[in-house]
Amino acid sequence: MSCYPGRRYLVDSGTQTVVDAEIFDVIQPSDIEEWRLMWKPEMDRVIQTLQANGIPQHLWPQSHHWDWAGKVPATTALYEKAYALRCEGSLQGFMHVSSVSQQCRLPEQQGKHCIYVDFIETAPWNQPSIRQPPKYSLVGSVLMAAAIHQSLDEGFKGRLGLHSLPQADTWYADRLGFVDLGLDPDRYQGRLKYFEATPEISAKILNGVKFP
Amino acid sequence: MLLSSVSEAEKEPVAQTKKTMTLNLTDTEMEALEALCERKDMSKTAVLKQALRLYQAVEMRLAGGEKLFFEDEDKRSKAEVVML
Amino acid sequence: MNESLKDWSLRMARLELGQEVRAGGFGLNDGPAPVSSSTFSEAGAEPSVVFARFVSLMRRKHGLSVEELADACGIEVADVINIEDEQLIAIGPRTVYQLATWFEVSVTKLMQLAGLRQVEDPTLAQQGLRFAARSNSMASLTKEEREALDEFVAGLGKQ
Repeated sequence: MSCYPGRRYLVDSGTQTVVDAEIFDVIQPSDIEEWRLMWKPEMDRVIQTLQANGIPQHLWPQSHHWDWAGKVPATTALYEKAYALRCEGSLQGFMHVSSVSQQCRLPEQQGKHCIYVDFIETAPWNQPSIRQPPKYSLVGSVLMAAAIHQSLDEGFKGRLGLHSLPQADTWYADRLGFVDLGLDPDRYQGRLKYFEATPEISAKILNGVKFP
Repeated sequence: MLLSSVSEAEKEPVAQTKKTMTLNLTDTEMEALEALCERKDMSKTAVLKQALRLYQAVEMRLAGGEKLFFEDEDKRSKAEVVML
Repeated sequence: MNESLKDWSLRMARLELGQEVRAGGFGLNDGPAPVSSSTFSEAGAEPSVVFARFVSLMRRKHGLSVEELADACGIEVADVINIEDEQLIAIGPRTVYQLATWFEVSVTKLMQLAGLRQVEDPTLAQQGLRFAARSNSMASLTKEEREALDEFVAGLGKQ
């Protein structure tokens, strides 16, 4: 059974060194406040610059309008969970997952339960389209590993599902090895691809590592 | 500038405390449970916990004024699921 | 021997380098796609391929660069690039309208081709398939490409 808060590492992209990080299986009001005070203004600055330079909207960071304040689960909810990842005193990533939103569609696991990743985002300064090099790498992997652990804890054997924003398709398909089931005609106006991880794919991602 | 509380860094990792209960099931109920375990590739405990999550999720949305329907696309029919 | 958390972190960080990490449809309606492209799918020609090929060939027929076409039509350069790359997800009705007007073809039919409107004419899919099969992406139009394009334009008709 996973324990939280959990000690993790992030990688400082500038120095290529690991730095201590912590993952929490709850988003506190103070995390939302930090998102409002630190993430949002940074993202707003980026969008203003893109607008001023005449960059078309479809090339902007595709999560620039996200509002995490409305995505904190009720404390008593069993069926959804949110994670916050912190490093060197600052918020670096958020993730919101559900145990009941989606059943698997891959033929070999059709109808079985999975942890569905509703939303996942890394802080603006960690996004390669905004800052080069990004401040920290590994935020996404640490959060995805947490989703896999939850899937294992809940008896879903590591099965995951998610709808990727187009800018992130290659990460899920090529780097993590998720199965691409193509554009989903039934959700999100058919504009997002749906990906799944089997128990084998998730096991490969975790690679037998003992997470504290 | 408001940052997270200092105490977060000092928190020790905690596995949630658990309580145990015994559940008596009829043969029919046990068969139904075992069939779900087989179909969902889950243990009995995992199936029952997932059932609890689903029940809570449905109840919370009903409490919010939403309704639950089954939809048959072929027959173009919708049937409301009445929860007691 | 199992990988340590530190080694895993360094390895996964290399995999994640340069990658965007986002999932979720914030801001998108969680509902079905508004336009069905099943007619095209049944015919075996993805609408994005046909639309991309059409725009690309029309541009080259007129001897225009991507920038020149965008300028002539009053649309974004990025839109022309994305259309020709078959990335239609963010292409809006105004862009298609401007292209149809400049190319002097039916706005309605080009909207259907771009996936912004329900396909009304089942023969459009067949025409699109034939056109896509006969055209390719060479820099200058071959005689066959020119013939295929002229035939497809005739099928699209004027506004």
